[in-house]
Amino acid sequence: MAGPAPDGDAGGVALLMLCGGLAALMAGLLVLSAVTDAGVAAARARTAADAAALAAVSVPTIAVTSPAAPLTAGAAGGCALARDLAEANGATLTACSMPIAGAVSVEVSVRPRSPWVHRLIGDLPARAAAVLEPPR
Amino acid sequence: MLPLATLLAVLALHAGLLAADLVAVQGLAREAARAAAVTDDAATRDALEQAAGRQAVRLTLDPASPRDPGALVTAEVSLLSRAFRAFGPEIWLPARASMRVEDR
Repeated sequence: MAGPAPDGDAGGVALLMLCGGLAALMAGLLVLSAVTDAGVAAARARTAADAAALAAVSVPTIAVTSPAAPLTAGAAGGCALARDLAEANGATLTACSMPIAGAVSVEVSVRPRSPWVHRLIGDLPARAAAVLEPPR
Repeated sequence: MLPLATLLAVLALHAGLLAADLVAVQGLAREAARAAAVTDDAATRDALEQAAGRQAVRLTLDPASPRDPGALVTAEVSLLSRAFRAFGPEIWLPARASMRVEDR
């Protein structure tokens, strides 16, 4: 029959469990920080895409109604504005198209803040579209 | 071992809360910027507080209303995180978003 474990063994097991617990916590925090970084980047990308699309689609209206914003109407002006809005929100405009007047589709990407998260998942993309008047 | 395990679990829980709030504040900044693009400062503040629910928020809008259509408005939002508040420290999480002011 086995007797009670000597004090040295009990201390060793406790130390092992402590180290295991701390290692698990550190690993968990690392994963959590990566997921958070990706989540924040994705949220920023969505914001940037929305802002870019809304700005681009408003170009003809603003050019006509506001002398404070003299813009060149059309795809070039709209997409230039979309790029500005994307950059103002910390994103990069990767695609922009205005297939018909009053409609725009943009795609942006945001780089996660942590370099190692970026190496792992790359840039976070987001798309948005806006129309002045939806087709009936 | 039990106190230590409990402490680790509580730390993990608060880290999770902090992470959730970090993502949430990005959405709040976006809501604030969107509201600021179409309304004045007071209405933007109301919209933000409604979106934040019971959590405390701070808002700075640049430029302040009235804003010119076509100008860029930037909303800087800080959210008081629920994480680690039980232990004393207040953690304000910042986020910012910009939108183009629309013609009303």
